[in-house]
Amino acid sequence: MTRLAELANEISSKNAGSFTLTFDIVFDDPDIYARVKQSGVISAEAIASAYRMPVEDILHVVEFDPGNAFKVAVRRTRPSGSIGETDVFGAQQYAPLLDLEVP
Amino acid sequence: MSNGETSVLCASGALGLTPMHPDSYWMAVGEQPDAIVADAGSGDIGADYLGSGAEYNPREWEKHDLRLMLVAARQLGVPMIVGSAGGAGTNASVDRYAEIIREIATEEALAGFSLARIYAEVEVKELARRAEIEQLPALGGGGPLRAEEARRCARIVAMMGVEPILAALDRSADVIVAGRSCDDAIFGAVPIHAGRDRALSLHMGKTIECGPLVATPIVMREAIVGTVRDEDFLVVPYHPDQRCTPASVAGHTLYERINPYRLAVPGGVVDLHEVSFEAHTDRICRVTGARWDPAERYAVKLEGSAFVGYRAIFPFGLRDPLSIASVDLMCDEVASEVTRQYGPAEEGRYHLNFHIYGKDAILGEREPAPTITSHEICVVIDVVASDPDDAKNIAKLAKYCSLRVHYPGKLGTAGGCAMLADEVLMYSIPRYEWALDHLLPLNDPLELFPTEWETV
Repeated sequence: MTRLAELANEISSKNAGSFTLTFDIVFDDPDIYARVKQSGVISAEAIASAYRMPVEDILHVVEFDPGNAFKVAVRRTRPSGSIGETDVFGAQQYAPLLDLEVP
Repeated sequence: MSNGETSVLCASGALGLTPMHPDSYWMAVGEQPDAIVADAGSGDIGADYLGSGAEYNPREWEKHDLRLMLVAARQLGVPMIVGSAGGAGTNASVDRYAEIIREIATEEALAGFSLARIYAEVEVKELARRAEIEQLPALGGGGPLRAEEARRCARIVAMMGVEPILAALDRSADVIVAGRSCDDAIFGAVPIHAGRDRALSLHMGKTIECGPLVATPIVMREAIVGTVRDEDFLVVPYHPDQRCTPASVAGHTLYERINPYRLAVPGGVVDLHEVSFEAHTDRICRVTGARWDPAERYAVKLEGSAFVGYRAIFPFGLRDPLSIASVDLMCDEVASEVTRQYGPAEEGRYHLNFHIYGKDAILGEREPAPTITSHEICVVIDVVASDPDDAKNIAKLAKYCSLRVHYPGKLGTAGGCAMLADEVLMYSIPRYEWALDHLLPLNDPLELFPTEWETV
């Protein structure tokens, strides 16, 4: 098993609009991308479990072959910047993805 | 410029956020782009700026960037376009940018150009009236806009598409200052106006709207040029250390969008199922494949900001391992003392949040780490109340309670927390929240976006 952080060239999170958070997981090497894709590790269930969130909060997981990338969209816990906000840009929300284990 | 291509220089991906770096910018200007464009806006900055009208950036930085743009655009005789003036794209910010541009024109002896100001604010009452008589669809999962949701807003803007910019270019605008606008559209406008493919132009716009973030390694505020040709567009960096690679450009296509295959803009969707990113040279990327998928009905996205109260903030630290282990208990005790004095938070007089850095302050309920492992942690007391004195006093009460609160085994009876200062450090900060996530269908893409003209 290898940590996703050791395979990906970019793992990031950001708002997409004020109500949605997106994760980008990008690989430089198409072979590594293919390996991760085939492993099925980046799935709605796996991400829900990594964040202890209900799977319904995951809007989609998209494989973006032209960019050797995965795009994940999840519901924000609250609209960006509202009372109780912890990360206005959503910029540090990717951290639990670093530890996903890829066979 | 040549007949076979239209190039757009992204002067800044965030005008005035930090000042532009001029060296790569002037190199790019030397290549004679067909337009000089910058985006000033972002929804990321939260609802406070739209609601309060406070300016997001220092005026002197905005003036610095606008000066570089105006001088070069007048030198080349090409359009200069700035979108989402001031960050939130309010009418006042459009006027302020216009005022700065007039000042620069005087200082630089640049005269005889036309300036178009395009406004994007939507009258709150008018939107509430429309919500009463028709269904305004939600963008996310929610229901149609309710009139009272609109009425809650202190200010509302609509995100303009490319059409108001094209209309200004039709009338030979030299400088366009736009209120809230779709960033893909402000960068794609000049190529579309020149007759280039709409989807390629808008995809190019999406690609360069954040400037050097599309290149690798990432450096701030350096120039990027997007050149739309017949079948493709090129993405060219001007900082000597930066390269636009297929990976960096493809990666940026994902940025801030929900679905990488479908980039929604007013009037339709840029479909990227057939997109391809190739190395044109080792530092220029070539992109093909965007297709235009028109919407059944033209609609613009609304952004509305509603006032929720005044904020007060106080941070403190914990170093005693027993204090750290007892932090949740501490916060509960503090909250119950606040309840004793000000009533339960549920009654709505105030909101009290504890952000516990070192535990779960960033991910909140989604934090998977089960325990605190740091030798010191920070707790930020965060209060919002409709009365600014309530907010400040609750923060003060919570501060004092944090010092005195008891928990089993506590040895440090002289003081239970390390205070950054013995005062509430931030208070009376007006707080707003996003109150709409809806689309507004339009019969005419120009109808909401009046344009005012002047000759400078």
